[in-house]
Amino acid sequence: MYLFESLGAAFLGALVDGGRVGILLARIVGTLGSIPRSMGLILRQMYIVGNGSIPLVLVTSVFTGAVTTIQAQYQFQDYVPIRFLGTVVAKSVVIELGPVLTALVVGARVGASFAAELGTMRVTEQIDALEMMAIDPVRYLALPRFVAACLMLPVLTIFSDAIAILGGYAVAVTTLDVTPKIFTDGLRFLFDVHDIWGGLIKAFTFGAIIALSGCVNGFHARGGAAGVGEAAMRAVVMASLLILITDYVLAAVIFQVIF
Amino acid sequence: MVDRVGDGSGIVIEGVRKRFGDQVVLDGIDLRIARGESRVILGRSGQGKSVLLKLIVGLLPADEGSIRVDGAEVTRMRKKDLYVLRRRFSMVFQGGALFDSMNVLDNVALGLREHTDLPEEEIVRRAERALARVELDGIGSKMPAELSGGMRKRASLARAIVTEPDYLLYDEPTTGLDPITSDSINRLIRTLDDELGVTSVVVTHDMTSAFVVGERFALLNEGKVCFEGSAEEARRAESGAIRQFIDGDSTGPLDCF
Repeated sequence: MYLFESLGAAFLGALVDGGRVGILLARIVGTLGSIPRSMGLILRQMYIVGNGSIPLVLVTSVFTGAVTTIQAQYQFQDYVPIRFLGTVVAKSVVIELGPVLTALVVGARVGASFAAELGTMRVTEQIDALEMMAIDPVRYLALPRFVAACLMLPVLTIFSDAIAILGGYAVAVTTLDVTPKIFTDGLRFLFDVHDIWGGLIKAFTFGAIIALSGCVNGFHARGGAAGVGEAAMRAVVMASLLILITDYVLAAVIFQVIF
Repeated sequence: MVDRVGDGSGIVIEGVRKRFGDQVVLDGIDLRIARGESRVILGRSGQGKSVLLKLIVGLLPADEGSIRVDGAEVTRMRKKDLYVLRRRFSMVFQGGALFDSMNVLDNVALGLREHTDLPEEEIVRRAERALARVELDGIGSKMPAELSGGMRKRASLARAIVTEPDYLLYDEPTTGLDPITSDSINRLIRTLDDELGVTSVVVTHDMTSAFVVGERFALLNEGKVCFEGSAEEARRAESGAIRQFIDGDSTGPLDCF
């Protein structure tokens, strides 16, 4: 019985979360008209989401590219010609690894920070104070974070793609006995600009997911320091799960239906 | 003097009920707060005083009953109309609720920046004047975290008065402050009330504070108003809940658990 109870509770919890995310998204969309007057707030969040994440994305991407290259070469063994190494690295980074790993690490960093900041504002009545001053917290707090994350995730993903491919290149030419020309010819071979667009559409969507997870859990934080901690944790879990699930849905839609 | 909006009838609360889960917090509250009055709402901790303040401005929805501000029904207002209504209100929150991501001056100036087309110099001038009024001249560039408890309360007070509201709501303005700082806050509230001609509602359980700032008292207990009258009537009461509350006696009509 306990199993069913906990499964039921988890299911109901997911429904509640889903509803909250949907409502917040609708309310953010309702405030999109205020983007021009919120430019200052948006730029500040873009700086926090974008510039602040560069070191993290840099390190993640270098190693992503390096490990992809080494493992691709291992899987090729004698079956696939090594001239396809660059092709496989570029394709997997641009379509999948760049957008998803960037979103996961930035999601943890930014999602937790949004949830903790808004959660603290909730439990110290700062959000009530905004409401009291007739300032819509969705417009003032959620909209700038949402716009910033949606815009900066694609930018960070382009950065990540480039660094990961460079990392792969460095590993290939220094340790795998692959000449620069073979690797770069592989990069160009089967290159399709749709792959980059597909990755950026993913990144944009992941940005929205990260902002929504952080803001929803922050706005609904309850009860002091422990509540804020839980909000941050829930934001990271929610963002990670939604990123991985949405990744599958987008892959199916983008690469099977659209392109 | 502030403009009278609506029919100027003040705050009229009738039959208001509010529960959280199984816990009934307000169980049929009737209260009239006239324009220009300084009303103190008394009650032990957890008797729903702060909830009542939040109901008046629609920060929380009432389960039942009617709340009218100058004739306009708050309980059925849409968000947009609530925002219009709240621009005539200011609240001083228990912990100050200053925005800790911005300095004190920006905190005070925020309402003006968001809701008026005043030039930046004028906004800064008004914010500085509000800070001077609460004796916080020259600390505009400090962050809220650098302020003491009393200074935070005063900064919060400055933020509340800078928009020249018709109604000022105070949630436990002296809680957590030493007696001397409390007295300075009480006197400040009194002075601001007299000078600005606002209608003020002060929620407190601090009787010293109540007698300094309030003209009329209402005592909440078990979700109902169990005493209502002038400060003088409260002072002269020889028995009943209000006498017990003023004396701080744990035996009497007010339940103690």
